[in-house]
Amino acid sequence: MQSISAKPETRIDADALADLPRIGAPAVIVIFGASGDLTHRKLVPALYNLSAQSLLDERSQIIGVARRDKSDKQFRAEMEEGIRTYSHVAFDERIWRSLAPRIRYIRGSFDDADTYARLGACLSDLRTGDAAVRNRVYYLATPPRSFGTIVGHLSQAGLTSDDPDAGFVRIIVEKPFGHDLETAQALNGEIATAFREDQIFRIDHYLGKETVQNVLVFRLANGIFEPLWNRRYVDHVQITAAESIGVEGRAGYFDRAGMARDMLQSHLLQLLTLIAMEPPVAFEARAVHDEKVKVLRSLRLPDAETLRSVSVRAQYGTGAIAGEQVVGYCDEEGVAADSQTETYVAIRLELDNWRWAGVPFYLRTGKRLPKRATEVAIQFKQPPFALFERSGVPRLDANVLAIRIQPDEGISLKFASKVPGHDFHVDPVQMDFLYSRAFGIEPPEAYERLLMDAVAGDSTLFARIDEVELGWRLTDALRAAWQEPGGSDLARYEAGSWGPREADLLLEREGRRWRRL
Amino acid sequence: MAQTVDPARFQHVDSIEDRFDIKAVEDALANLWGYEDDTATSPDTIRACSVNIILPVAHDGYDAWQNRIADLARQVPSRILLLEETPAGSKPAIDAHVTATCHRRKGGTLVCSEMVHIRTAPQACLLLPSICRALAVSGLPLLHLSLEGTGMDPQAVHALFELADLTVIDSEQLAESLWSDDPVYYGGDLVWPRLTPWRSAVGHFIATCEEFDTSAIRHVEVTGSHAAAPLFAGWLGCLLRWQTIPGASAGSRVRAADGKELEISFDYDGTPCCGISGLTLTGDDSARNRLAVDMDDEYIVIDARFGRTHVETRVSIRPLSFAEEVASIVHSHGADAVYGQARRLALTMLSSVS
Repeated sequence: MQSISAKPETRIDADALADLPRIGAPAVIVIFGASGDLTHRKLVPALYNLSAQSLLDERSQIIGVARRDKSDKQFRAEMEEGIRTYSHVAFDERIWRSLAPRIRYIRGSFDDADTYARLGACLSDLRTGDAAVRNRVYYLATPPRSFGTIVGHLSQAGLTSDDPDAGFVRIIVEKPFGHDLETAQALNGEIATAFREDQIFRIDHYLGKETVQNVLVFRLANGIFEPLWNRRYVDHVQITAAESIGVEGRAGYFDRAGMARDMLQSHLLQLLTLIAMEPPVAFEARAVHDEKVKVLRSLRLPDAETLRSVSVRAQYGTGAIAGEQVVGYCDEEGVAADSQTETYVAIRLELDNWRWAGVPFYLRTGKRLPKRATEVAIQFKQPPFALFERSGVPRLDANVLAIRIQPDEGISLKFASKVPGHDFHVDPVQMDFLYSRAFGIEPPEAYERLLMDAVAGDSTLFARIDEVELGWRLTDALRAAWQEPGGSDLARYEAGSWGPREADLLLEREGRRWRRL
Repeated sequence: MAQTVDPARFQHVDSIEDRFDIKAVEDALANLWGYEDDTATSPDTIRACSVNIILPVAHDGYDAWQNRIADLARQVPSRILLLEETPAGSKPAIDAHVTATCHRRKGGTLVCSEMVHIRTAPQACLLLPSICRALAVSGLPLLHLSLEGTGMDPQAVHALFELADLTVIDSEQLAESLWSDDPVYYGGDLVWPRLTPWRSAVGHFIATCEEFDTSAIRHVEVTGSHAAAPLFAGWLGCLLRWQTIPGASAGSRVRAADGKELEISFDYDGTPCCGISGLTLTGDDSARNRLAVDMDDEYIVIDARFGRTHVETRVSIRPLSFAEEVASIVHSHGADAVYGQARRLALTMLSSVS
C-alpha cells in the first residue's frame, strides 16, 4: 500500500505575516518613457508614497529610460518636483534622501541597441554588493507602437531571462492595449516573444481604485446581496463613466481612438465583469480572471443592424459646464473641423448565461457631461403585487443599489418609506455608506496598489490577454456596425447635458430611464 | 491634506447640577449640525462615526490629550466619550460639553467626529457606565481605551470594561509584573500594532531571503521594552514555527521546526521606539550564521551573514502614531489571530525562564 507523504515543512508560517502589508521583493523598476507625464505625475509619486509607507523594499531601485538628455541629478530633481506636486503623502526629506540615490537615468533611443547595453551594465552593477537586487520590472510608459521595439531589444540584450539566478522579470504595459483585436493580438505576440503571460501586467487603472476593488468585497463578503444578484430580482444594470472635461490636450490620440475604444473596451467592460461574474473559487488572480472571462464570453454579439439599434454614438457641441462656457469638440485644439469621432457612447448589452439572461446592462460614457461621476447602479424589480395602490399610493420607485466609484465614493440603497403623518404617502429614501464617513484615511492612489501588486507578482488587478481580446471583439463589432454604409449617424449633444436624446430613447422605449447623477 | 478645524467654532456648553440630562446633551449634539456657516461658500460637512470610543483621562488631562484626540478622530471617525475625573467634592458633580473635531478631506469635504466631554467627581462616577450606554451611537461597536490610571471607582471601571465590545490597553504603560494571560490583554494591546515596523522589516527579510537558514538558529536575543520584547519573540516563534519546551530551566528554551533546541533571552531597555531596539539570531557558528537587527536613528538595519554571504539592508522606520495604533486594532476588530498566538507563545517562553 502506498503511503501518503506528509506535506513538507516550509521555512516559515506565512500566516504570521498575514496581517502585515505585503511588500514585494526588492526589484529594479525600469521605466521606459520616463520623460513623460505618466512617470512625473503618477509613477514616481506612487513609488514615493509606497516608500513613505515602508511598502517598497529599501533595496529597490528606479531607472528611467528616455530620449531626452539629462543627468541622474536632473532626473531626480524632476521627480522630486513631481512628488511635491502630485503625491498625496506629504513630502518628507528623510524619505526622499533614502529614495533619491536609488533613482537613475539612462538616456537613449528605444531602437538603439546601445541603450540596452548600458541598461544591462547598470543592472549588472545592481546585482552585486550588499544591497544586490536581481529582480526586474520593466514599465513601458510609452505609446504602444514602441512596445515591440523595446521588448525585442531587451530580449536581444539578454535582459528578459528569469532563470532562478537572474531573479524574476515582469513587464507592465499601459492601456490602450492595441486599438482593435488584430492589433491587440499582434502587440501581445510581440511581447510574448520574450515574456510569458504570467510575466505580463496590463494596467487598467480603474482596477486599482479602492472602490472598484470593493465591488467584489461588497458582493461576496456580505450574505444578503448575492441571493438577489440575478435575473429573478434585478431589472437592469446601469454603468456610467461620465467626464466633465474635454480632450485636455490629448486630441492627437483621442481623435483616432474615440470613446468606444478609450473607455468602453476597457474601463466599462471591466466594471461589467466585476458586477456580473460568478464568485471565484478563490480570491487569486487566475480564479478571478477565469470568471471575468466567462462573463465576456457570454456577452451577446448581435448582427450589425441590431448593434446599431442598441447603441448610440454622439459628439458634444458648445455648451456650459458648472457655469463655464466650453467649445464644441470640433473646435477643440488639434481636432479636425469635420471630425466624426464619438465623444459619447451608450449601449445596451445582454449576457447569455443562467444568472443574467434577459437582464439588460446599459453602459454609457461621455466627455463634457455635467459632472465627473462613475457609478454602477443595480435597479431591482418591483414587488410582485402593489399592496398600497388602494391607499392611493401610485407605483413605487424601484429599489436601487448604487455603487459610486468616484467621486463621493460609497454605496447607497434606495428604498421606499412611509412619510410621517396622517396621510398615507410613500417616498423613496436613501441609506448611504460613504467612505469618508466610515474610514478616516484617504484611500491609496490606484497606481500605488497596482505597482505594489506587480512587484509582488499578483496579477488579480490587471487585465489578462483573453479579457482584452474579448473586449476588443465587442468594440470591433460595434465600430464595424457604425461604419457600414448607412450606418449609425453621429448624434449631437450640448456640452453640459447628460448626452443626446437618442441615448434617453434607448431606455425609454423599454420603460426605463437613466439615473440622474 | 487633512487639517483640523478649530473645534471652538462648534462648541456648545451644557452644565448640569448633580444629575445628568441626557436629552440636553443629545440636543446639544444635534445643534452642532444646525450651525449656520456665515461664509459665502460652505463646504459639505459630514457627521461621521464608525465606532464609539470611551476614553477615561485623569484630572486636567484633556489638554494633554487634545492633539491625540484630533488625530484619532481623523483616523477613526467616531463619537468620543471623554471621561475626565474631577476632584472629590467638585461642583457640579457631573458636567458635559460637546464639540466636533473636523478634518478637511481632498475635495474640500469636512469630515467631523463628535466628542462629549464629561467631567465627573468621584461621587458621581457610578453614573458613567449608564451615561456611556445611553450616549453610544446605536449599532456601532464601543471601544474602551483604558490607557491611563484614573481615580475612578473600581466598580465604575469594571462596569466600563463589561460595557465595551473591546477594551484597548497599552501594556508598555503597565508594570512589568503584569505580563499575564488575563483575557483583557487579548482584546487589544497597542504594543501589537506598535511592533508593526519591526515585524514588517524582519518578516519581509526572512520571507524573501531564502538563503538564510532559519533552522540553523540556536540563540535568540531580543532587546526592547518589557512588554514588546516577549511579544515580538512570540511572533517570531509563530513565524519560524517554534514550539516551547515545558519545564525548561535555563533561558526560554524552545524547539525549532527541525526539533533542535534554541535559547531565547530578553534584554529589557525601557521603551524604545516601536518597542524593540535590537534582535540577534545566531547559529552555532555565529560568524557564519547570524542575523542582527538594530536601530540606527530612523532606520532598522539588518545585517545578515550566512555561509559566505553577507547582506546588509536598511529599512526606514515609520512608527505608527497613537491614532494609527488604535485604528489598526479597530480594523482588526480586536480579533487578530496572529496576535493571540504570539501572546500565548510569549507567555510560555516567559514562564519557562525561572
